[in-house]
Amino acid sequence: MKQALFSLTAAAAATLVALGATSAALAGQGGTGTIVGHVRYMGPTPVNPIIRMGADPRCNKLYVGKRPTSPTFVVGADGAMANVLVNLDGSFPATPVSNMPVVLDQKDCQYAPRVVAARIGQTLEVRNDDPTEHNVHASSMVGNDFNTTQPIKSMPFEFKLKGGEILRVRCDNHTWMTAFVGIFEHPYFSVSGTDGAFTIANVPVGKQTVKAWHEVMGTQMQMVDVQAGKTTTVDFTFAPGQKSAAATPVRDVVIPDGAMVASIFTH
Amino acid sequence: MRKFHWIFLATLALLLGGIVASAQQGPGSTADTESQPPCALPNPPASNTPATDTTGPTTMAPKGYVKDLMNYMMMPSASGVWNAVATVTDQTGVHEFRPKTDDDWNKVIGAATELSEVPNLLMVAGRRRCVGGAIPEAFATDWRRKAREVSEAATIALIAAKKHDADKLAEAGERIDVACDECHEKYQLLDDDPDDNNGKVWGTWKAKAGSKAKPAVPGAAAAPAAAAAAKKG
Repeated sequence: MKQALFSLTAAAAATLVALGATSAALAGQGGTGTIVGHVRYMGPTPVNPIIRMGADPRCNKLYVGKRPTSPTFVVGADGAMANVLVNLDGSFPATPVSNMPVVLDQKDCQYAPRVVAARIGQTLEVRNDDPTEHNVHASSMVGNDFNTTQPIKSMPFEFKLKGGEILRVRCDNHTWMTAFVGIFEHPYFSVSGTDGAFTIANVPVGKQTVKAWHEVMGTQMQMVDVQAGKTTTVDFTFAPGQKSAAATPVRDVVIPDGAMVASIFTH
Repeated sequence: MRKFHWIFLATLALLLGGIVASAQQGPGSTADTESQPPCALPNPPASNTPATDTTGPTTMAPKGYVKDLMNYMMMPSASGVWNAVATVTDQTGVHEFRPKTDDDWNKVIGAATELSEVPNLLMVAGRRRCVGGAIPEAFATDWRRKAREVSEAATIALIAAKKHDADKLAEAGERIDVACDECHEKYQLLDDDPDDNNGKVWGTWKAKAGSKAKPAVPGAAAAPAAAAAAKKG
């Protein structure tokens, strides 16, 4: 028994040494570079759907005199496009997963940010900073399912992400609320900001496939050649009628129409 | 003997008073409302006796709570009107969606018809809210006025739908939205935070001890819907 345990330990140690040597060799061989770029939208100014929050007076009170819209398209005057998920495609050597959670806040009866990215094994932390009760609901084919109520001033909801996908998160109480979580095996991803800019650091050298995904405009891909210690620029432009892969890799929560409205008025 | 006579009369008066108070509260009483959240069941049906024995053939008998009418009738029908005319951006560009075929328009007509009639159900005497119970008599006129405003706005939508006029339908949708908000701001109570109910019509709802929230005062002027609509843009 002792011998078996020793053999197992030795095998595990040998594997770890081998893995470490492989990683070190990869890093030593090529080093890393950085990918930066901008995402733009070209075409008629996109129109976001109106949100009617009247069913929940707490949400409605946050927008007195205003007409809230869904932040589906966040496009600046110069076409800078936010909330585009940019990531590398392919397999990469294993790297440690951050202990820091990725935070999704519920504020002003919307999710903020609308799009976040995380790694498999990382914790998604969903907070409720609203004066109303929310419900956090995601449906997944790779184990990222959750469905939990978040009362006012409650503890954050934490979930360890299990599989790679673009996960749609919704609130059953407020059917207009939607967020997307890009979940990856590797750390090479970013989300474009309001200036359209994104940065992916420490990218392994060589030819890499960069993907840009928007919830409506779909996915675009470009090949880049990353060189050690250098910055490579790659820009993406989304335009109406352009050929993009359909924006449908998202696992959607299917709720019958009746059920969707049934939970809105609770008072 | 005379002393006993007075005691007897006082007891009788108390007994009769209790019976009258109990009858006035009926099935939609405060106790019912507050003890059965989330108000899942409607008033009991007249299953043991013919309905006419207790209600009379021309008397309206409210069954569902206000929230039931909202969730299962008002929201779906309002959505049918609101969603009929919309601007949508997709992969191919910006599109104006409007009803095109007779089938499209008939769906809008159905939604607008329902939406114009549901407020009449809200006006049935004795209709209860899940939180706060029935609308107090002092606010009945205001409640009916607000319900009527939704109905009138929905009627404009109905006429627009029958005329296949998408622009007017969209305008009516805005008026419906404002009318809904105006009513919610005054009558839609929340049961767990007194501040949210400040200035609203409380009915049977009571604020927690120490709360500074105050109920609406009968007769207080409400902002006209048109002004609110203009403000909301």
